[in-house]
Amino acid sequence: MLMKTGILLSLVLLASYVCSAQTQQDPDWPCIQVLVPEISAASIWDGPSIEEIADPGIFRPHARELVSAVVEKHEPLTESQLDKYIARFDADQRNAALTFLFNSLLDSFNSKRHGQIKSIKLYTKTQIKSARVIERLMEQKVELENRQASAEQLAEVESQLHWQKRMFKEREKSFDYLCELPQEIAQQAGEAARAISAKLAY
Amino acid sequence: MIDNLFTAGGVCGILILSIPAHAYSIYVSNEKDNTLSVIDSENLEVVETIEIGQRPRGLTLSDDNNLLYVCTSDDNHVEVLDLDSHKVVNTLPSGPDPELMALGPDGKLLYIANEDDNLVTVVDLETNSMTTQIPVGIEPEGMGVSPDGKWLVNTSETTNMAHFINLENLEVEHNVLVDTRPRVAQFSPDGSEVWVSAEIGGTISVINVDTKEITTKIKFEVAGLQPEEIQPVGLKFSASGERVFAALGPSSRVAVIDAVNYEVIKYLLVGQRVWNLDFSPDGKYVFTTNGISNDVSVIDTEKLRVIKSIKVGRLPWGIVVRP
Repeated sequence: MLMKTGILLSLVLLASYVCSAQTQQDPDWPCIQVLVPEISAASIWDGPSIEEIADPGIFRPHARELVSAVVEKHEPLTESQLDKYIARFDADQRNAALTFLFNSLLDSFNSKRHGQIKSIKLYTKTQIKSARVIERLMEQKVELENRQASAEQLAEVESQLHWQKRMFKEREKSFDYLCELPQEIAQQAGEAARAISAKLAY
Repeated sequence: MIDNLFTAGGVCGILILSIPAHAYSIYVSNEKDNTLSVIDSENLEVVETIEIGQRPRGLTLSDDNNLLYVCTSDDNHVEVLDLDSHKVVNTLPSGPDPELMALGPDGKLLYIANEDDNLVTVVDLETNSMTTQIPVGIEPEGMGVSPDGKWLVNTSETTNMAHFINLENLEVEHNVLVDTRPRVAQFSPDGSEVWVSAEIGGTISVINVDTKEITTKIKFEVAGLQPEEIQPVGLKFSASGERVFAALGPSSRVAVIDAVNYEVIKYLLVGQRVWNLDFSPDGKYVFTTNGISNDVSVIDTEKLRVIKSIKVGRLPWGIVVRP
């Protein structure tokens, strides 16, 4: 009975995140937010399509500088940065340059976000493994108690159990923070899209 | 184009001239800031930010529109805001983690979904006390009362059901299986149908109230978007019942649906993660809360265009318009 209770406890520790994963049909996705693997351009942009750009190569080096600043260095895309970027091209290239910049930023944001999603799933797997360790230690403890093992043996297992539970609970606290990271990237991508879109000429 | 959404200064100027003589206020709960933003209809700007309890989400007006009930989920109660003084004048015993609620037909009872406790709590608004709790499915959320006051429909996120609760005996009499993670339940103005959105399922189920059967499932498709991005959440019927505006989450779209033939008329690009919405009293505008872009989009319901974005607090969630 005690063993069953122990096993149940370790499962309960994971319950909230496992439930979320089950309803979302991805066993490794622990977040309440529905997993959206990629931010689509259409969700934040209704400007010209990247396919409409005849010669994207001319924009690449200039866009790369801004992508590096905004995505890699976490800096907001400023109006003056955008004005400087636009000034490098002829007036008739303006919309193509802005569209290329948006697509370059989105690719980079998506790449970063993809890495975050992968890390969150890895973290979930680690927690599931940790829950299994706790479960095994609980079984061991019950077994030791049943055969009236020495106090030292029992203390050793209890100590391991204590630390494993503590680590599990500490890591569990990170889920709320981790689950917000992909949303933060989506927010940054949306802000950049709106800033660029405001510069399109119609 | 998207610049209309975010740099609509010129359009806003036109809008100001067209605002009706009877001004109204829009209240928005900011889940991450523990505040309410108050938007004035005359200028469509935030005129006040009110401190409120922790994690404010669902909002409901009292029958006389003088009080606002706010689900402050992490405080495990409902706060009652006086709309003249903008002070919290009472708290209601809601049960744990209140998320959404619905006012009874006579305005005397408030029905509250307790997400963590699989219950619907009934609160008497004259005595401010809990009268009973009704067991429902796992993670109850959406709440809708039929116009004739006979039925309360509650959705349960994990059980994937719409529970029909008879308001005479407060018992669940029918359960209708809908698609995954149902969120919001809304009755049509004539009470013949209840529409239930399913966030993960990506659909809206139309349930016939007499037969308790799903008659239609509305699906959504937007060019360039992945199916996972289309997550139906908030729903509102126009006063005539001819149209429904549906918030589609991370797709940043509001679907305008013809409620007679169940077809999408138009998808409107609004802010990111659009969650809930409400009509202006004259029905000319719809206001949406956008949880990632932290703004409220204003939709012109006649032209079916987004005419303005209003910055509010972090993670705007609930929204009500006070006439």
